[in-house]
Amino acid sequence: MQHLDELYHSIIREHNKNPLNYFKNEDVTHKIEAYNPLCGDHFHLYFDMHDNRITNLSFHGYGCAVSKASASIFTEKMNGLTLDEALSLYERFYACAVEGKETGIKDFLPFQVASKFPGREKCASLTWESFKEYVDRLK
Amino acid sequence: MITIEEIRKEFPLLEGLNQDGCKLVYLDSAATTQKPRQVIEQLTNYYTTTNANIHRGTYDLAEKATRDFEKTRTQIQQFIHAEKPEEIIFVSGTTEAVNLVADSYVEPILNAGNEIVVSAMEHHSNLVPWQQLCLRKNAKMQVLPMNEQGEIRLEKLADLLSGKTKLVAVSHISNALGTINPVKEIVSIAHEYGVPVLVDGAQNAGHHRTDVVDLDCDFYAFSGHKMYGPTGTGILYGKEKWLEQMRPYRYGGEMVKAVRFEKSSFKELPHKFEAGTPNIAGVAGLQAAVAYIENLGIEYISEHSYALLNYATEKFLQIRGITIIGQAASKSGIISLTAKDIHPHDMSTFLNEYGIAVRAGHHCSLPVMEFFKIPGTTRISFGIYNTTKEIDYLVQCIEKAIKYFA
Repeated sequence: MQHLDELYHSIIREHNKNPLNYFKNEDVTHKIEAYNPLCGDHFHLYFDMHDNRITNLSFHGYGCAVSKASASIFTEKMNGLTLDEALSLYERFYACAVEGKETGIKDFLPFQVASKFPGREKCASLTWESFKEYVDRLK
Repeated sequence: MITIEEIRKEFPLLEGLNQDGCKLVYLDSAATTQKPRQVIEQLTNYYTTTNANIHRGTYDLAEKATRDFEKTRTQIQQFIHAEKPEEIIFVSGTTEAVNLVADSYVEPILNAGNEIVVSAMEHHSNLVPWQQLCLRKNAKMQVLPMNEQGEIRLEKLADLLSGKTKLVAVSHISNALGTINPVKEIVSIAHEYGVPVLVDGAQNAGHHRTDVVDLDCDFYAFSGHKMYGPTGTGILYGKEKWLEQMRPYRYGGEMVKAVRFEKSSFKELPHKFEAGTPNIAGVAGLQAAVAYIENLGIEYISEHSYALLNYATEKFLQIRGITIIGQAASKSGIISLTAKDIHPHDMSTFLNEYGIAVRAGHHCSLPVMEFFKIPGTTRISFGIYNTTKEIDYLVQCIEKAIKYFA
């Protein structure tokens, strides 16, 4: 069970069961679709952006424990950041969840092992990648 | 009578241990079956004793390779009870077989406003080729609906057929739900309207009796790797009258009679559909797979599939929180399920930790998932090597997963 508990770390299980900021909010300035057709995971991300600052994040949709927890943490960590700060945090999450590197951010730790599980490479990064793609298109 | 334990010994991969020292519990045979030693050895045997290009050599080895290749064609003709070996075309798999029929049979006769009928439970491989063809030709794809049990609504078929319909394409067994479709009835109704029928037999061939003459289908497509044979092998059966009138699918060597810069003439059946050097080694392996199946007896294999299906279904119905998706009266050894709100990928990752291989996701059948309003399922599918003991172990582990994710 050692192996499984590494992936389904208490942080992931808790966020999966009780996700933060888990609601639809159509009154925001930005709405992003995060969809992985391979596994059917499908979220919508909602946030406001004024003067390059991101606030009022929430998400809603369907996904596995890992992708849901990751989205939950995304909405929490990104809140109040400027776009540049958000992109820099994205880079640190990417380094952790995709490249398996240490980042020193406690909440990111459980995602470090996720990418090592067969077929689960995209779960942790789904919302983060969708955010990055969206922001890149805005530029 | 050979026991399942003895059968298992013939599958080296099932006998080996994984990195944690556990034996694999392989429950994903609908994706691909494991291979018996006879098939694996035949591949080596081909390369060590017979390897030569076919249909063109004037030396003994090439002659032997050609003879073996053509003998397999006859063996497969008999295996599916076709009338002639010329009606057996070697392809790379079911997908290529369907594309061949789309390109060579339907495309030339499909005009704007014409229609193709597919069922609501098709694998993408028997859906997307028709959809794309219809888009190209401004034709319409009609969908034969299914009910909540995952059964085709046969009574709706006649309504969809008319002089505009050029083909009905339907799976023999649904890969996502396990439903065994009433193919013979579908063919009979379609023929009343003069419409030919293509059957995707990928989940049927090698698991249950396949008799194309009894079905009276016009085309029957299947893959070698889902019936204990090598990947990259497959068969398209077609009635001679259709194959004769069809244009070639691929052009190149081996399928031509005479070639000049201005024009070429093409070989007779079946060679006009087999351009280039075919998968000769794969076909040798397929020969061993068919021999393996025939040696066990297709009835024995089929009975075992039903026995496991019934055993597992009964067990799953006893677990609270499990919903079986697809509860047709007639099913094969495929069970799709959801477990409470556990995502299928979390379930399959959990089971993987216990050495159990199952499939999670939409099983290349997104419209089926949409119909049941679910993003995906965990799919368990059986092969001849699976045992009731493995099902007991699976059930225990699913119960553990439900607790773990509670």
